[in-house]
Amino acid sequence: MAYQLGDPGPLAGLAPPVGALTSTQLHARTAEALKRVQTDHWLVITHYNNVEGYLVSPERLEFLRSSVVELEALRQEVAATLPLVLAAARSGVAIPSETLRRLAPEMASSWADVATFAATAPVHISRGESGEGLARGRLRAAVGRVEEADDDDLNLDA
Amino acid sequence: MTPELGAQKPTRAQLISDAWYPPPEGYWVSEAEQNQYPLRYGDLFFTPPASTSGQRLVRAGDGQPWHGVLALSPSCEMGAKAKPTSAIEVARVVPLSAQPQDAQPAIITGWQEKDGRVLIAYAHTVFLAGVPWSAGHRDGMFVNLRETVRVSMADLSAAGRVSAMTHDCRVCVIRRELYYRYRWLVSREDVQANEASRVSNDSDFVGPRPQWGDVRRG
Repeated sequence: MAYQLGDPGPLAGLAPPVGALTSTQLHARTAEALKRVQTDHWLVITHYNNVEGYLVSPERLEFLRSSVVELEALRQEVAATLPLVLAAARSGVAIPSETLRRLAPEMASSWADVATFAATAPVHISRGESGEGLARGRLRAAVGRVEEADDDDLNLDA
Repeated sequence: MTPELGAQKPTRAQLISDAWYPPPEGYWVSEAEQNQYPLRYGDLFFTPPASTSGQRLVRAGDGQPWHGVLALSPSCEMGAKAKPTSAIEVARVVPLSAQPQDAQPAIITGWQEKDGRVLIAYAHTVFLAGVPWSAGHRDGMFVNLRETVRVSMADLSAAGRVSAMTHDCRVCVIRRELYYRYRWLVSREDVQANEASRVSNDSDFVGPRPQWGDVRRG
């Protein structure tokens, strides 16, 4: 999933550890602990009443890892977008921006002003129309003489 | 080998930007020069009366002709190869002013900011700046890539060209069409480099070349 600003974030779905084991218990009943972590997702491991570590299921660890990656991507996207919105606000150009609309709801501009700003302000597009990921492609020019065959011999009404 | 971009080097801002379109003054060949330019992909035309399949190219509401059409057939099919009966693909052009006020900026930019992210906006559209010397097309408009028809070369020529698109802007339209059709976001300089290669190696190319359009000169 892709997180939006204002979402509670992945940690909201992360229930606190529901169980604890001593390191002695872990050592003695490892198989049971591993089975239990599948349902509880994570367990606190203590040693003389101090938290020494956590036993975490692979699914939970992967969830946390991917959440951190996504949140970092969102942080970078927001950091890249803010200068664009601030530049528009400084220029008084009403670009299509939710953030700008919140800051200056009455701002309006001519099509020419918006087009000029859009052509000259660096912008980094990070998502498709519905927030989906983008396929960025590279083209490699194939240098060579353009020879076009005559295609009038085809029967295109068959 | 990727060719050099030529004498007119893009600015750093352009190189690192995903901006879709040139500034308004970069869309159209000047009125004085446009006769030197043959009909090509990207040129803006008045609307012919009907498509090759007999569809009347008029607005549903009042029966008035479409605002205009933009040529989408490959340039080589509109040049020497074209016969009066040749079918040329065109897309309908719609005035920006007819759209909801809050949609207009996103059509102009081709992107919009939501939740701190910049998203593609209205991928089926290509924004067109107004043609300053055209009474009927002076204001912003856009191409609806979802509404394409074929018209005969004879009808298109008879309807007349409103304006010839600049080579720079044609690169932008190709790039936008690539995204619309295949959902490939390709950089402007990549599309331009390919156009430069194609133009440089096309012995049938007619009319002024883009400044970046001869990779053989180096």
